[in-house]
Amino acid sequence: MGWPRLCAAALLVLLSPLTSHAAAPLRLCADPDNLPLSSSNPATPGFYVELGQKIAAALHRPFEPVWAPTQAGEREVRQTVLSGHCDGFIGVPRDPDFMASLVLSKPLLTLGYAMVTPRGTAIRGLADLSGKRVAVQFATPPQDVLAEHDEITMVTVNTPAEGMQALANGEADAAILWSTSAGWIDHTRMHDAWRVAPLADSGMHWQAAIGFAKDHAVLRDAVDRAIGSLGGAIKALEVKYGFPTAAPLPLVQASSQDPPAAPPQDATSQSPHNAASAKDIAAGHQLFNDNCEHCHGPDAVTGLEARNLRHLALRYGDKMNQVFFYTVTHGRPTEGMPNWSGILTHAQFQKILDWLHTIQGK
Amino acid sequence: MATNRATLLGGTVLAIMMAIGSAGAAMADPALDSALQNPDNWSMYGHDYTNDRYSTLKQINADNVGNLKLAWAFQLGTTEAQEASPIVVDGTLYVSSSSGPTHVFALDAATGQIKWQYDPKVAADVPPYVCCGLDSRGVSFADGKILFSTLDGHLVALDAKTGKEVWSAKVVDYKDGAAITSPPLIVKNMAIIGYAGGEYGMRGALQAYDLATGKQLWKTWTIPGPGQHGNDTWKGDSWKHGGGNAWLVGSYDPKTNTVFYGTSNPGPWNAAVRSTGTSNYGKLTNAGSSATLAIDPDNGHIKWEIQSTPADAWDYDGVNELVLGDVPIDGHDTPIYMKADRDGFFFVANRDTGKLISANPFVPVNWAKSFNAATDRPVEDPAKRPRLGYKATDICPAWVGGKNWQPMSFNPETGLAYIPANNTCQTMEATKIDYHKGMFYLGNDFSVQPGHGGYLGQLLAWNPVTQKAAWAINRPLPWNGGTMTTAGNLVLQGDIQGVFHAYDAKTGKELFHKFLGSGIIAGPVTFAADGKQYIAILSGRPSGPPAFMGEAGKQILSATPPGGTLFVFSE
Repeated sequence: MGWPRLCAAALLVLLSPLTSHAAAPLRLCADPDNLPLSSSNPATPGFYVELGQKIAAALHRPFEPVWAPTQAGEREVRQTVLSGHCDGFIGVPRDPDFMASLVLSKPLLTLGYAMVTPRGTAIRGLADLSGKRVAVQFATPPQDVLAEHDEITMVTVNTPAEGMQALANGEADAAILWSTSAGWIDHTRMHDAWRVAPLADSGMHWQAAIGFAKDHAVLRDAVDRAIGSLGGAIKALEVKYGFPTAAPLPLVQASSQDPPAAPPQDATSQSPHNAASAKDIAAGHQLFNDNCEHCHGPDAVTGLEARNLRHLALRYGDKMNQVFFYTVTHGRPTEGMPNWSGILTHAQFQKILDWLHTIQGK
Repeated sequence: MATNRATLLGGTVLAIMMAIGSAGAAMADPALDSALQNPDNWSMYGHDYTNDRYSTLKQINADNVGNLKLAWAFQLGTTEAQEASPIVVDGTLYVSSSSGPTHVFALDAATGQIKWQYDPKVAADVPPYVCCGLDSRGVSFADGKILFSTLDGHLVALDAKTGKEVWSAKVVDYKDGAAITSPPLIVKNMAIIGYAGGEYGMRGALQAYDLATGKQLWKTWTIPGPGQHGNDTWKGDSWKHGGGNAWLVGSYDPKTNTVFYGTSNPGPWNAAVRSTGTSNYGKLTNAGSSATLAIDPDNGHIKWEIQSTPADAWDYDGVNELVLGDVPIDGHDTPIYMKADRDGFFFVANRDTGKLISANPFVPVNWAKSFNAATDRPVEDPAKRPRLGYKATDICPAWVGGKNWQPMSFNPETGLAYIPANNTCQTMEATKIDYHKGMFYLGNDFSVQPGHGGYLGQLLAWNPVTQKAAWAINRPLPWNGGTMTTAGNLVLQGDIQGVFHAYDAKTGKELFHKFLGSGIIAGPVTFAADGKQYIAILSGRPSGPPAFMGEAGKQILSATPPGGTLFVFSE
């Protein structure tokens, strides 16, 4: 053997990746029976499993799914990720209120509820469901919304599959179900007969992420970088698993009691947000909590979209101020909103509005 | 002559056999009936059909209980919550462990030696479907059999002598979110059983199974369906998933042939789905839920019902056991049932007529100012009723309840009920994001705080006639063990910090205590074998419910480690 060959061989050894120990598998927990999101059936692994494989590959680690039934939700996460049985839990809500003991990856995707209707129908929101039978899942936000609308007949089911079956059997005219399940059933069992439109309303959709134990922030950061590099691959998986692609539609439309378009210049109701003083905003916040929180939620935090004042700007745009003043001085009797004229002064209304402007979209 | 007599005898035997063979039999199960006659026995969960957990044995009494010594101890083989009341029939003690149950044991009651052991095959994937701990509250005896339920929804009958399985009936599908945690009620030739699962959109039911064959004889929904009385107290189709599960134990009055069961809270949590969502629920009371049902065991029909929390929004299950007694009301000896309800009210009702006599708070209560016995309605404080978008604060009692499943007892000599009471309050609203089978939703956010008064638990001696406390012993934590009382003027209770106590039943003076190593939640029992009286108690603290009790729960978990031991004491 000549010297150059020895050198080359040595160089080769130096340059090849160290394989004296295998990289530890990336173990991610997922539900074994939750298509299209995850499944222990290798023929149809599901979105999370395939995504997990891609993330692991980007980290140069083998992927190991750890099956964890999600029936028990938070408790399952506690008993798996937080007990070291897996490194992360795919598909937890990306919300700090969910479990304070987790650190979360960047969002993987948006999940939520969808309106399912026959193709070609004109159903676009709640107003179009009046007099109709609508399937909803037990103890879900869509059921809570329909509970406030006696003009809509609720057909309660336990699972998305039951909801889709109710549609197929003609027992319901529309359904509001967990979107990815509805889309998957429609695609794989019902020949795409239905239109599955995700809902835009707050409380009807959340972002999903991977949850890690708090001391695994370094792994979380590495996973975030991997997710960042996968962009197009994630989109392709969404298509593969039949995720609904229709544009999100708002379930709750503006009320028919809103005032007709008024002249844009209205000195009494215009109040540019940046002209309000911090003192007025604080006073408005207090007035709100003293008078409005029992229906609109403390700090205007509520799960009921119909009463969600954090969405006034989203719903009314530059008509927000106008609608606000009209509503508080006329009430909405059929909806239980009182007329506050004579109870609060115009100045007090203005301060409340000043505060509301600071929380829009939050 | 001889022929005639033989014919007469044969005819009589035939008549008896036919009577036993039908669900309408006039006699109790003869084996159980005989066991109940013997004061040495503790023949069922609550001692007898009254569920009063009162024994006439007095060899151990207030004068000598201070000398109580350990006779024997037995390891149950699991360390999850131990909730069983052992039963003892003619010198054999029968007990189930937690987690399945993993084991069912028949032991020599005097020595603890194993006579037989049965390990049921329970589905390994059951835990996610069980809300509140992998518990078993024990077994039942009848007809030469031992019967028990499993977490995966089965009712099993074993031969009492050999422990061999005789039959197994599937009562409910655990994957629907149902589990069974309590022993069945034996009435005549039937085993009657309910199941848990209100959180998952189930509708509650009670089912009766033939003791000999395991065949289902009847099934009665607790929540009325279309055409049934009370169906119109549910909005829309909410009755289909209404909850109202009968997951604890039943009582029975042979005189009127009536079975009594309590039912759990209605679902879903958001009362606007099934009622008005406000304190003005009007007709929409959600009948069948958070209620006491009086049932005809011959056919399962509901005779009448008394609701403890109409249109519940606080998770006040109404499942607590109905203790039957006879007490003087307005100078008349009156047949009553007593219920120390989750909602903090102590209900006393005439169990013959179904008329509510009185309902008074036995712990601090503020969700209602009073309970009107004439109208069967609480007078609510609307500010304490949570709903979507409204956080109700400092609601007393918390979901933990004025009393939870841990059993109380009643002593006819002292005239007092001995209640393991809790004093906690809660804040409740729905805004927290929760996660269930791959789906997100806005869950019921609640936090538990200590009740007012500086104590979180209490052994409470309560007079059901005057609706007043006779004496009380405060405890630092909630979720203490069940109680038992005897003609020896004793009350016994274990606490969640693992100490087993005996008290003078009249005065509450402590006469004995011993640390047993793990928190005690089960109820004690007493029995006699070979002329000697024993007292038995399981120790083994839970891990499930404390997770939902805030700071108090953390203290429960850190007070003792998990355990699984049966302790038997004697003089």
